[in-house]
Amino acid sequence: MIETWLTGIYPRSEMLIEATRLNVINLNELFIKEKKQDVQIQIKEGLKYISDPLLDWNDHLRPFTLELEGIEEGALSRFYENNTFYRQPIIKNKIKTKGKILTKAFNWLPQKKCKIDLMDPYTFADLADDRYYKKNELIDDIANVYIKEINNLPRRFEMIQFNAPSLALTESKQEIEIAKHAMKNISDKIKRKICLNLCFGDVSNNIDEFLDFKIDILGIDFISTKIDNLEERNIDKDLLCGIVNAQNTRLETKTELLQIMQKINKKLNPPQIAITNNRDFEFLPKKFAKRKLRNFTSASKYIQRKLEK
Amino acid sequence: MKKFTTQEIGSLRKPKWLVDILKNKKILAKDKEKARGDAALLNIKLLEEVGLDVVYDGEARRVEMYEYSVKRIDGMKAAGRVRSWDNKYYNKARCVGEIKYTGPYHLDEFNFIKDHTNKIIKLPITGAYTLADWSYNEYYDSKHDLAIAFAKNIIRPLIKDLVKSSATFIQIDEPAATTHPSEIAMMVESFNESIKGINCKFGIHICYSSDYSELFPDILEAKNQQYTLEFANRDTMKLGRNKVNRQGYNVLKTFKEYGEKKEIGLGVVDVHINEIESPELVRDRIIYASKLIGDSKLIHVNPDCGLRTRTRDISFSKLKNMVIGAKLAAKEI
Repeated sequence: MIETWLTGIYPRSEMLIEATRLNVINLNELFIKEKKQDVQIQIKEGLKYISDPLLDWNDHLRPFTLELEGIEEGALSRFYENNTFYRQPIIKNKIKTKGKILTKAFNWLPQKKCKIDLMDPYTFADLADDRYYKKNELIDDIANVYIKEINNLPRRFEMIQFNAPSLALTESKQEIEIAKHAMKNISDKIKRKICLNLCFGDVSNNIDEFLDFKIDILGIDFISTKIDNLEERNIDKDLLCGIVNAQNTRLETKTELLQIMQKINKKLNPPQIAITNNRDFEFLPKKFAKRKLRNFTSASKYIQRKLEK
Repeated sequence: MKKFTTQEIGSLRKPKWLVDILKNKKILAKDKEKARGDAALLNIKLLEEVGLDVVYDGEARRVEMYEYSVKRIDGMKAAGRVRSWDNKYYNKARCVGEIKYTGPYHLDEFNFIKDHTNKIIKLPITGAYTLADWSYNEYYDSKHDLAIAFAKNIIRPLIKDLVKSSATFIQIDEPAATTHPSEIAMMVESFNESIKGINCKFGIHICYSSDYSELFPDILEAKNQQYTLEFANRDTMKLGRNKVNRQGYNVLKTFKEYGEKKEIGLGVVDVHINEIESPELVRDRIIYASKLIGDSKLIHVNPDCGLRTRTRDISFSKLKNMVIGAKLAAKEI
């Protein structure tokens, strides 16, 4: 069975955009209302895991930037190669958490199989302005913060998806080793399914190293990673395939998606496959994100039938 | 020749009265156009009053640098808003067919400014690469093809029409230029295609790069005469002319190392903070940059970027201090 779920921050509706611009008094209520609507769509589309659309997160790191001890909010910085900016966390002291950030953010999600999206510790550290630690120490401490936070989440949060653009973009085997150590630490201590989603970069040169991570699901952004560059092999991890382009409004056809999935299957032959958007859908206006979501969940059934033949 | 010519980059925040008029559905389009003209005139006169050598109209007639352009291009269709940061958004468009020129969309505003100032006019235009980078491409085979189509089909005929109407200094805005370091050559190619065969002074405005050295060596092929760049955003607010206090300007060494002899429009005020840079801070930034470049004649002075991010009071206070700071620097060098 081909599974489907969403990756990252989902876009705000035009109504919500206007409300945030005007900073209306009932903004929090509007966020919750729209998040509930988005989750209903996820349920209706039959996604394997339900996730918070993160409409009220101003960037992927902001709740941690604002709430962790030892961190201050820094300048606006470009978020990779996008016309999108985030507040850079400035690490000024040892980082500490009371362990309530994730429960506060996600407890509202319904009693379904849920997943949460986080930046992996390496990416978090890479996006920060570290004025206190050595890089590997910071990564380890971010991992420790995550462990404490995740262990406070109810069991219905079955899967933690670590989105890892900086890791996907690094060419340093040494850095990958540091990230691997942090992920092992998390994996040993959280007892949840872990997905390491390598979005934004071409990982064809380092796929062996990533397959060696102690994780359950490897995510690959197949818009950035050229399938033809991958060697044929049978991987032993489930594969999350980012084959839906979250940065173009053009709707992929079922045939296109099928052809990509056939190639991926042939090249990597994973035990289980899931389809997702290759990066945050917030790079699209909401109506196009919705269309793409409907399109890929529908295409997944078609692909399933074709692959079974 | 005057040392440290002062100029703006482009946009100013629209006055509240103009926004109210534009939002009012009961007001006729011709009256809204008149109000835009009033705001443009007000901006020109205020920019003259603070003492800028080179002026425009604060882009009073434009909604926003991208949206204003793509709305006037055949083959482009509005898609909706996406987030730039926090609660700030911009409209994106989809390229759904061959892009075609529908006429000189900046000509009326340029002619108006020409009629209302004796200062040098620098006319900002959103560049082909940025138009391509900020659009969804559903039609052309590649982003490169889209960028070149914008350059040949839109920007070149637009510039030709503006030059015919006596534009002498055009700034092509390419804020997307350093978003993708591997595409600098594409940006330069589209820039050169845009201005091919046209006799005019051309500037290129690039901002918010993590590292301007990524522009090199490809940028050397661009046929511009001036760079207008953001530096103050990455600098400290402390006075002084040393590499620590002036850390935002150290990248100018790269320009020198490559032997670049084009003018530098030096960003000396930060458009993302309310704190108003003192004339002495502006002076120190200019003097430090001049020393790094080794030829003060190449230095022109401007804000980092368009000032629409700040209130009008803050913007004009910043510009005023910028002009005083440039004069202080000129006295010393």
